[in-house]
Amino acid sequence: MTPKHNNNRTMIGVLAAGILAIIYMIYVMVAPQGGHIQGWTPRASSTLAEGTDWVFNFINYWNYLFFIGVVAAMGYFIYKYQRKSDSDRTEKVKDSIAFEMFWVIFPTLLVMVVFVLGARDYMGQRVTPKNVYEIQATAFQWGWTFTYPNGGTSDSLVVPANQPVRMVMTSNDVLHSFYIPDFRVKQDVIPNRFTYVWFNAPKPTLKYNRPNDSTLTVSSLDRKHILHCTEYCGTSHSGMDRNVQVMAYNDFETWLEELTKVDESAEGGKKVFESKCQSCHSADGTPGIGPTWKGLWGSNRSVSPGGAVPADENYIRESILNPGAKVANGFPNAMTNFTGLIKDGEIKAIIEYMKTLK
Amino acid sequence: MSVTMIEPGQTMPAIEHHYLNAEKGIKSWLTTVDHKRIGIMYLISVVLFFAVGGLLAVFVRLELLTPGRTIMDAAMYNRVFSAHGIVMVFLFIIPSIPASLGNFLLPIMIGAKDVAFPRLNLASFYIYWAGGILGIIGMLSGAVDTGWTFYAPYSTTTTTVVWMTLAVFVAGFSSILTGLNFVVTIHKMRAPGMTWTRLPLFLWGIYATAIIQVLATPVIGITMLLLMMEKLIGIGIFDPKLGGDPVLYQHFFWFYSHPAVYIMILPAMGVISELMATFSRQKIFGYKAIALSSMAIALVSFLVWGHHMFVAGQSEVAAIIFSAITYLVGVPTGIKVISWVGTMYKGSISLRAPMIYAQMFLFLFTIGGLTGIMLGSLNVDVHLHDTYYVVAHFHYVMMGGTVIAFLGGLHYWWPKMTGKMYNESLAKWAAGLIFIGFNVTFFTQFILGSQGMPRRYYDYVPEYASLHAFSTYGSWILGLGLLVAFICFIHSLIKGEQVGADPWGGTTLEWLTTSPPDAHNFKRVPLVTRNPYDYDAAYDDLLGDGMGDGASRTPVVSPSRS
Repeated sequence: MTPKHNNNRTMIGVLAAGILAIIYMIYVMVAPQGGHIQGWTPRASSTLAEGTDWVFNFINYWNYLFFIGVVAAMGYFIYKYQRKSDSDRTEKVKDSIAFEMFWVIFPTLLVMVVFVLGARDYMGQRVTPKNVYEIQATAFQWGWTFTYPNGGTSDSLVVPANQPVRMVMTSNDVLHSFYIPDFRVKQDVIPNRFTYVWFNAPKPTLKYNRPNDSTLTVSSLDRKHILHCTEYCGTSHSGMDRNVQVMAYNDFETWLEELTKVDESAEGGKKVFESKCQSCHSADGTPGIGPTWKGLWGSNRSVSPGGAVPADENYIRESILNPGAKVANGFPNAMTNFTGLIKDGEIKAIIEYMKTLK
Repeated sequence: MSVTMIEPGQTMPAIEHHYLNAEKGIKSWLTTVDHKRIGIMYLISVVLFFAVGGLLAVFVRLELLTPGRTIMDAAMYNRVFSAHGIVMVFLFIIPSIPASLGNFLLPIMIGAKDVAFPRLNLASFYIYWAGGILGIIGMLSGAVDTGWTFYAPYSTTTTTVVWMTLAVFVAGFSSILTGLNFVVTIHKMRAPGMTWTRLPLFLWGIYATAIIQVLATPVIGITMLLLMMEKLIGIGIFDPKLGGDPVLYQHFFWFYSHPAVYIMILPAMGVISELMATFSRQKIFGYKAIALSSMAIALVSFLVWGHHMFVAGQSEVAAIIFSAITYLVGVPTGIKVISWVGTMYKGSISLRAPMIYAQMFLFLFTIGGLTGIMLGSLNVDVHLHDTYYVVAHFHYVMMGGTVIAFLGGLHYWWPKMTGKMYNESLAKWAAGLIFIGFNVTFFTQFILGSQGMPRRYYDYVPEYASLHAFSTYGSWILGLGLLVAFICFIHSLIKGEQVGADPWGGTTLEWLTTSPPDAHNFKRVPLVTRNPYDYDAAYDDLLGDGMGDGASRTPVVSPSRS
């Protein structure tokens, strides 16, 4: 059987189709959607984003050039030097030292330039400027507690606009990571150690409630930012997404004052539940990692050690501040110790809320 | 001197005695010390684990088709993606090319009868399966949801990882022993005239890999042992509650796992060198550059582990040093790509299926390499670390690189291993589907990642939904392509045409012996008198029927100087 060699054109076609497909995808990505160009990177919402995006684009342009060069050479050679018959002989190609040296020295210089650009900008990200506003962050399975200088705490992040903010972060259990794509900042959060990042978000965001609010489109530039956990931390790893809201300074001051007031009603308890508890507990009877709260209040709890105890104020309080003391039978001893993560008023509010879940 | 041509329609006479029929029965396989049979047993094993890992990948993509729950809950998803990673890395990709193709070809390519320690070679195979069985027990017994990296303290405080870490620990010994065997074989068993600069580049790749296997694998063994001790008796190395340091675990882990990346890719690079030379009928452009860059990569790969930890809490100075050295690894890799493309220059290019896979490799691996340049940059990596950009990058390198090269090599050496040719158009259909499916699946993930989609996420915000769905559709095309490739090989076993010693006009030693080779590879020890890719000399100096002395030559479809 004599193999056919006329399929080189098909191959060139497939290669060209591959490149066209990728160009099309890049086009779709950067094409304007609702007036906003959706580039490779998400919207740039902190002062650090500019430097990151500049290096990203610098590398990308060189990458396009190299990639197109390599594939064009492949296509050209396949076309030009295709085998005519099985008895083709090839002539010996002389090694060109000059060409080889060029291909060693030129890329080395280029990657060194890329290295310096990236490293210089990175140092800027790591050195915190003066007059920084500090927010403490505590990560746990699976949520965040942000503590502001006046002692107020929140579960989603609110920062003042146009002001360098430094996050001082630690974890209560396993590794987590603090990542806001729009700000281009990321830092792992480690138990028994403090790590930090700083950023400065110049523009306030709109006061929408959720990033998936139906009134929002992808292109809406001033919607809230999202905070992700980017170090795998267990079952609800992806459930650690939180909103990041940037407020003008006056709005932020007002918000901060409101924050220290705790709403001790059932209504307030529902909010605490939604922010701190619902990744493991449900309010409607569906089984979770922990027991559901529906019908929990006032019932007799089968726990170990201890046998049966009534679910009263003291039981609830103890279960939050020292969850290992009485573990509900049928559930793992997996709950985070909330000491320092929850205020007394919030516990009262949770109890009020539980009373409503018959 | 002329070479007899096989006319169209004429069938090749089948070989009467070869390694496949030298002994009969299942017992002769399970107790064999023939490197070729061990290679075949490895091949079947890694294909089996690839199928398991691939099926898990299909489930992962299916779950990500829509935000929220699609087919499984978060706990199950975490187990599935962890099992996918562990099976693919430790049970498929690390042993894939070296243990199957390497085992089969290494002794033949240096003109030896077997590897240096044939019994150790069989022991490696059984240790590998012991690791595999422990891994399967680990998966069936449930709760490994740590990802393939087993990061402490999550792995030591919350889940049962002992079976899985034991599996990795045990499988590691297989890797070390195989590496040791190969290093000794290449050093001591080369045929007369087979100098270091006459080694085929596939063997340079295997050699560099074997050195890393011997030097780096003990570190993962120790790390897994520490992790088990932490879990079982609470020694407090990694868990901060016991006074340990979780970042230390990452240092230990990546000190192995970064060099391991090169265990995965260097043999693939070797395969591509062979394919480019044979199907371009041209000597490798910059043979020494490719051989030395393999060694350079092997050495420097030990010094870059910290680039997995730019945001993990290591010092800024360490991060900057690791970034700089990382770029130094990029250079020899770039040199290889240029050399492969250069090999086609003034060649005689035949686009048979193996060459199509080689071209796909160049296309995909170049993307994988260039996006690695992106990830090496400190400030950009802060944004891209642990996002889908990283997932896309290492799939372009590991799958677009290693798996594609493995498939190319398998098509290329299949006739040698089985004596049968595969169906060309079936193979090309498979290659086309894999190429399209792969790019649809994984190029999408570059976009997702640079937009900020974190990896290992069960659920995601609706903005990413359409891209995730697109990626999932791609995984179906990719899966179909791999299935067609598998059918192509099975079809060849049943219906394949008998081939001669050298169906491609290859010039390395394995093409001198019969297809399939004799149980002892060659009837006489070959005498090597030229470089591996001297196409102009090959037809004059080293022709033969497996005698290695150019006395006669079995009829093959091959060029003739007339």
